[in-house]
Amino acid sequence: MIAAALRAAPYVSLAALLAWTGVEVSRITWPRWDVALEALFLLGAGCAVLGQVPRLRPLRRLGLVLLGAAYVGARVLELGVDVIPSVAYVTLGIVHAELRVLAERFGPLYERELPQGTRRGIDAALARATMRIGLATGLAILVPILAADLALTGAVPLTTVPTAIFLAVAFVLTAALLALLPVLERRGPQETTGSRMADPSRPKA
Amino acid sequence: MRTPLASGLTALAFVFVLLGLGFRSWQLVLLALPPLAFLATAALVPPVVPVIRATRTLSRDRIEAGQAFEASVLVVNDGPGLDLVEIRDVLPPEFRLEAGANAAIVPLPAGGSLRLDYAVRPAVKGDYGMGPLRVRALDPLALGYEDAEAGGTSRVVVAPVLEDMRRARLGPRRTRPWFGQVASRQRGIGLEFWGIRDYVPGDDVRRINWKATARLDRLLSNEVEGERSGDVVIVLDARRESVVGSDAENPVEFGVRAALGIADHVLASRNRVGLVVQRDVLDWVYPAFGRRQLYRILDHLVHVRAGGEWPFGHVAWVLSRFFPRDCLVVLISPLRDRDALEAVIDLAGRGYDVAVVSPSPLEIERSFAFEGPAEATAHAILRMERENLIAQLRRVAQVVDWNPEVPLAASLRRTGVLPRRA
Repeated sequence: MIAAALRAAPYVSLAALLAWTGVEVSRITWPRWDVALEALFLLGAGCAVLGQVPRLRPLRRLGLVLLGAAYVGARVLELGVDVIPSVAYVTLGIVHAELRVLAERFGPLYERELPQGTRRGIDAALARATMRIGLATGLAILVPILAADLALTGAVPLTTVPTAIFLAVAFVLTAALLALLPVLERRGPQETTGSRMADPSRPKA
Repeated sequence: MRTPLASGLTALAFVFVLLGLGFRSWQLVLLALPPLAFLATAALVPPVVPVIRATRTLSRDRIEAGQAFEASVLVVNDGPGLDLVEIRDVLPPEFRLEAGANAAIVPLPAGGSLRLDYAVRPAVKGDYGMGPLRVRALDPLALGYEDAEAGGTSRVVVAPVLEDMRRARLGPRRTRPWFGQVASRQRGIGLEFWGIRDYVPGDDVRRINWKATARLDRLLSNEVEGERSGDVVIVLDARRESVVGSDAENPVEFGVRAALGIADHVLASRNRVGLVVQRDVLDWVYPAFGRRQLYRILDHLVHVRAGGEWPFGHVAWVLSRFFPRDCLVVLISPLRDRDALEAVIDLAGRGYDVAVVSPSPLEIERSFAFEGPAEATAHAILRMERENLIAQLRRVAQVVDWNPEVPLAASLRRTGVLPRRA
């Protein structure tokens, strides 16, 4: 049951992404852009579907990028960017990638016979991973909505050059900090208890 | 460490920020927040660095190619509990997993242990290292991981398959002063009758030829042909152009098998055997007797990998300077170029007795290639070229055209040229 659900989850989320993007692209009426965006959508859908074949795996990422480009293009060029649906769309895309990893990681474990203790450990790990994805999904939707509310209340002047520079610097710093955090942690005192020291076959420094 | 997904999310956030600034749309800037929320959630609880101890046990550390052996790895977590950890005992690509698993994805609590039991079958001879054990602690959001290694490497020596040469006739024609099993065409100690001479005091009574004594009315003794030993030097052509076929089935691998079989056979008949291998480097083993010499040769053959583009004439130079002049040179080469012909003519001109054992690259290639009309024609042309080359070689040396699908001993017997009486 769990294995089947794990296997099905990425396909369900992909189908939702495809349907959503298809609907958005079909709403484009401007003749200059509709053909281009529909072509982008079809190409992305083709890549995403073909990418499910193990041999054509690299097409998966390309498919997601093209679908996202078609959606953003449709929103930016004609439909306008609504915060909540757009945030939900982006979050769905990320959740799809997470579910794919989850299915590939845990799916095979649920398809083979394992000792009871190991099975319990895997159940707990799956529960923790699912909970973590749920938490991240909630934050991914709630934080932008909160930020949008703050913006709409006029607490921050939105269209000034200093705001743009501040936002850009803040995002760059946040992303850089998040990206570098594991590296910084590894350089801390934990390294002295790393496995390289625990490995008796290696000479001590 | 970051995963590609984490890098992708970071890039996505940057793209939305840039798009927002470009289109002057704060809504687009807000779209950078979902990927950042995922990155932040992952960064709050990063995967811990695994502290793992591993002990690997092998059922055998010396084995013949094609035989399976068992390995067992006990993994103990000496560090904090690991939510989900990927464990893989690294195997050389030449090893094929026969049973069990050398990898697992499991949760490993603090102090917990795991045993990986598996059997592998090495396909190609060589000196391999199994391990180290690689451990990867995975982040539940797949945005980061931590790697560690443990267990070191375990050495496994895979010897080439030993050809059964018991029924082959192969040995040197020219003998040395030491006792052996090669008829020397001189009187001495041996078994074969040589002639009759007058009895001299001290002769063994069992040597007296009573029939001849009765006929000639004086004591006559039998003389026997002395059995001595000789020298054989095996020259293995492992140049890069000798390789045709797969890793496990190519003229160099078959040549190694032939060299080991011939060395074993010749050493068993109390002759000295030496080895010259032409690969990236030109290495050699000086002729010697006995089991220890066989292991010395085996050790060199285990490390043979095709390589190098030396002119074949260097072998003649090495032989003439470092090896006995009256030895039998057994050249093992697929004969893919005319260099071999010139080298053999050169060796014969220097007075060496030369025999050529040639694993047929055509037959090896044929076993892999699809046989259509064009391939059949190409094969026929190449076969004619090869037969022409071998015919020229047979003027100066004994040549065995060996189809590796047939046992080497059978090919040697069919050719029936070794040893040739002087």
